[in-house]
Amino acid sequence: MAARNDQDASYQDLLHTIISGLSDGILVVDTGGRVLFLNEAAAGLLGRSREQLLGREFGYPLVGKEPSQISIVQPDGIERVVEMRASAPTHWQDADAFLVTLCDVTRQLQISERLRRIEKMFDHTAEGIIVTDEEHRILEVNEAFTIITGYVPEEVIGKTPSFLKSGQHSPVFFRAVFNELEKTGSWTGEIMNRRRNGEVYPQWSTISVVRDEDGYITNYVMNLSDMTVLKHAEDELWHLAHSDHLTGLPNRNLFYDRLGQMLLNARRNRNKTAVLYIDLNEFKDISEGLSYDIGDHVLKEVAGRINGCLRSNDTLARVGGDEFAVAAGGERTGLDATALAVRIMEAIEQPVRYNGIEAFLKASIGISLYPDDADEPRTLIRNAHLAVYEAKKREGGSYHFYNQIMHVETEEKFLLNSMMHKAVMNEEFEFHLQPIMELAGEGLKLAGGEALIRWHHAERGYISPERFIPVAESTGIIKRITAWMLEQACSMLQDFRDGGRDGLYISVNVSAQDILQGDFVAGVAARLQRYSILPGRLQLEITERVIMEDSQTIRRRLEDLRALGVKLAIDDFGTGYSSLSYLKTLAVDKLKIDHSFVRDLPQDRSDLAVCRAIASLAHSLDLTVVAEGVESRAIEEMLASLACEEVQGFLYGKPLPAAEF
Amino acid sequence: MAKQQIMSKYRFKLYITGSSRRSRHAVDNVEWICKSLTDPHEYELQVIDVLQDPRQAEADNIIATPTLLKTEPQPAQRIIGDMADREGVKARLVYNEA
Repeated sequence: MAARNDQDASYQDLLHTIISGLSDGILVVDTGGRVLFLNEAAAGLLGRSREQLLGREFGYPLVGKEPSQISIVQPDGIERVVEMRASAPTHWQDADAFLVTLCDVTRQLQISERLRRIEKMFDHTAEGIIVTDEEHRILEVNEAFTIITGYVPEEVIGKTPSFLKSGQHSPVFFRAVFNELEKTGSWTGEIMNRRRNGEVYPQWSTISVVRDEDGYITNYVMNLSDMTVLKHAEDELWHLAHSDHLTGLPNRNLFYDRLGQMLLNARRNRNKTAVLYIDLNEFKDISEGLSYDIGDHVLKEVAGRINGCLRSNDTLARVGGDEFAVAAGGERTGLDATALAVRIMEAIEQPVRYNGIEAFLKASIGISLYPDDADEPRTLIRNAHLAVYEAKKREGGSYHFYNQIMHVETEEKFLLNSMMHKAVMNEEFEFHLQPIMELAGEGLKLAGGEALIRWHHAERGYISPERFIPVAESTGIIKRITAWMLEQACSMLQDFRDGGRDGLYISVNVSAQDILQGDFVAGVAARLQRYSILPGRLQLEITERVIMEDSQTIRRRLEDLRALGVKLAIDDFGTGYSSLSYLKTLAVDKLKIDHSFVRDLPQDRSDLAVCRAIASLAHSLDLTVVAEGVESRAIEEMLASLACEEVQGFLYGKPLPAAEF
Repeated sequence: MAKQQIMSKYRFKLYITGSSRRSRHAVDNVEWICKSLTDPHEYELQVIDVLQDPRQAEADNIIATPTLLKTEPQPAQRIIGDMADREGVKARLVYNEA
């Protein structure tokens, strides 16, 4: 018997060990709900010691077929969710009792709730999502994927996404994508894909690698958004931005491109190229004095006549209201360019007849030569343009070569530079502000001002920024001028704030040279702090040309400035050609439509189309649109109809000295 | 019937934790049970959130929720669980009632 008792005792010890070692909680309660027994795990889950719980009323454990979820707030305030099961009444030391088991499901519930949230996101996001296994076999796609590609999940699960290929990318392209994925864990870019209906479409994609804890790839996740709408706008804008609606000729932008191409050829073949800048002298009198109709007719007629003077490889463009430019390649020497200029002048001087009216015109032509005067398109055109001013100084039609003024130019530049140094030291510059208005639903509201520099030289009088800023940029003194402008702007913003006008902002133009300085961002941050100005009240404007250089440093600086909270605007937008996909990745807030597209509204249909395209494009990228050069209510109304947010121009006042703003 | 003749009033306290789905279901279940037990003016149900009112929970010795206390009529009762087995809970509440 003793042996039997010993056996019982050791068996009980064993049971005790097992029960107290279980991770699930075990409780025995009597029919009144009082605790008769509990193991360590149960005490832990209930957040109290066994001693505290023994004999205490837990409650009658009413559990149906399904386990019951109960909550316990533990002493540290954290809620745990426990699944409770109870047996039918059994015997415990000669009385009826229930055996209750408790299992902690808190973590499980958190995970399933998170999964539910993710599932919702996956199903309802507007971006298509493809999840594949490590061998690129599709595991899952979402609804947006079906909307974009036309494929339903049943058609694609188990396949690799290669059925989306358009055939427009080489194996080299895909290798580069996978190399990047391998190296950085993700790839972002544009891919041309094919929809189920065969249509090829541009897709903005991000592919990410998912790895397990040991670093092995388990999945790929691809997010895709359809860029078709954006692309259409981009193509349309390209077309609008490169041709002149009235004459059908290339415009200034396309002229740059074409001239660039011609210069490449000229360099290869060691040829000369001439650029002729043609300005119609009396055109304004005709179009404003007689009618816009005849003005349009004259421009078309002149375009045709100039074209008649050219050879097939030459390029003619309309570069301004009454300005044309010719790029003539081949073996022309300076003398040939003279002959061409004379032929063009003679052609233009023939009277233009329209509805019984005869219009007489004369042309002034500026000429610059490659490689003598410059070796890149922009400077070549600028030089030809400068030469036009010289030509215009003479009565009637005339032409002028740039190299005749070049010498004077260099001397002038030298003089200007030393004058600017003095001007910075003697504070000869003045800080002016041109009002920028908000085109709100109900009328106009002052939003802020663009900072403009004015220079009255003691001896030479007023010197236009268009004259001295390019020189300042080429000699580097622009950095000191910009620093001065920023200082003035911040001081002015402080005055605004103190004067209760703290909603106003000031926009300051900065050049590539400014941004490229290593301490530029720090300098801006320091000023904002010194004057205690909200960063969003300061806006910096960079021209589209600077953006187009696609410099990594500039891009980073823009991101840093944006991180400070400073607003960024792209100035002169529309004159260059920014790729949309590129624009999309830049840290900017606003596009400013160049005044050349605005001032001839609402009559000029091609300008209107450009403005409309820029506005819709900007809005699709969540950018604000500002129009410059607004000179009439008619223009303003037109811009309002394009949902343009802000406007500036003489209609709202000329630039004012800061004190009068 | 017997209940109406006695005219004894039911008093309940339902302890819950926060406003989770679990808590809402428990409240729905207990309201259903109360209404099927007696007329609306014949019972009183107090719902107490242990997070809002930990002192009262402590005073009533609440270990976990949902816990339903019946304080009137005697004998007092304490039931723990999600109250999803409505008929089971109801049967338990009238059990022991004279």
